[in-house]
Amino acid sequence: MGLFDTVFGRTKQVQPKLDNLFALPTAALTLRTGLDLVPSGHAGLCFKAGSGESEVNSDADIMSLLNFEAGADAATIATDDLGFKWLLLTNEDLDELVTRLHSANETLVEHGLGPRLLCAVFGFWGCGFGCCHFYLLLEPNELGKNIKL
Amino acid sequence: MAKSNIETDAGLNVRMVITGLLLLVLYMTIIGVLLALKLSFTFVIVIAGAMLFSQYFFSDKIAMFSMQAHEVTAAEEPQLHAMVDRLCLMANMPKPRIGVAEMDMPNAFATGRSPKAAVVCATRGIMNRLSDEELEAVLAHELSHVAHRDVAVMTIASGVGMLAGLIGRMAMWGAMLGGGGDSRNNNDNNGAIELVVWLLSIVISIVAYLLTMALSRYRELAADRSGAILIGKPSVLASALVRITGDIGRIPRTDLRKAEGMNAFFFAPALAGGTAASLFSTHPSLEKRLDALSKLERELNGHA
Repeated sequence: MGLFDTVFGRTKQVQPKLDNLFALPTAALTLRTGLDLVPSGHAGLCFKAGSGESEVNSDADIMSLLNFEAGADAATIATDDLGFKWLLLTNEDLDELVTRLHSANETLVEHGLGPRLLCAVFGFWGCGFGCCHFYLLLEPNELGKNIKL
Repeated sequence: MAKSNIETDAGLNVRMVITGLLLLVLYMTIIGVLLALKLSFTFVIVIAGAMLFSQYFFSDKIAMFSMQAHEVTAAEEPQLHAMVDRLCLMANMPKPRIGVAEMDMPNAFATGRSPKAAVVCATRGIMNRLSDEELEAVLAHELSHVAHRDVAVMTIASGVGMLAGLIGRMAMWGAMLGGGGDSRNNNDNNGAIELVVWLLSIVISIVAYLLTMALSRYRELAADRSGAILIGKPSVLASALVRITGDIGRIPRTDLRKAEGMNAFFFAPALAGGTAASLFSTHPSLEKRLDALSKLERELNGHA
């Protein structure tokens, strides 16, 4: 927020920082060796659809937009109780999961949804304590630099 | 759709700048008058400065106290917190404290001197009446007030009126008591000058008041716009507005009078009936706000 933004009373839309995702495969190695956590093969992308991006109003629109090949990846769309959409992906290979999620991110950004991407979530299994999730914030703030448990 | 310029409304910017400049001119005028007349009103300025500073510095406490609002933790109001959490993440701003006022009047307000010291507060009435989506839109509007630093802006803007009012009162007392104690050389002349100062300061405070109200209305429109862009659905904010203003009209007036002093902070003004002269209002009319939102909706859809 610069001085002029304050004077004019406007906020700049915040574009996401998609590259945060690529820190995950390396971190996953550390998690495996250090904590015995293995990727569960599930990932989610959370965003808020709005009016305006006319092609992405319904779940079916989003799916066709993302252009996922049927078969190997199971991809579904869900809406949570706060009205945010979740794109849920399943793939055994973490690298591929990250790449798929990244391409979904980019498609959504291309269609003007960038400011409303919230976070990406990746599931991990641990031997001792079931499942845990890693939230990767896609915002360009300090939080986004860390992988949050 | 690479880089949109949806954030700015050129017309609104122009009006805001003009209002701001006029207020600046008023500040200059009032200081010019003081200098030209060589009146020692330094301590008036100090008093006005102190009042404004405390208003600015304690704005969160004052507003929370007068609305009998209390801060709530994430455990007490998980849904409210979750909504604000996500909105703040999307807007990339620090999360403000969250308050709830246990009153039935449906409204919300934001206060606090900076985004870091801000409080966003909703009444129990608004939480009961609005759908989740609409409540989120209202919170986005309030968070925009925080991001725009509206408390600071409005404090500076209202300063000139307060200064003029104080000087006017001083001059009036001075004229009535015959020129004051320190300058005895020409009592009649001094009294006349103080009468002029008094009249001038009345005019200045009226103009300053009108300008401040205009600025407040523009800031509301700006917060509507930013809030609607943040959630991406101007129509949801519009429906929240319609529902709340409809409900406020239906609530007994006694409750409203208590809250009228708080209007400048509110999401929707607590005035029953739409007859209040729009010139004196802190908020634009419902019609204007809805028009602006539907225009934004068209812009988002690419039919500007």
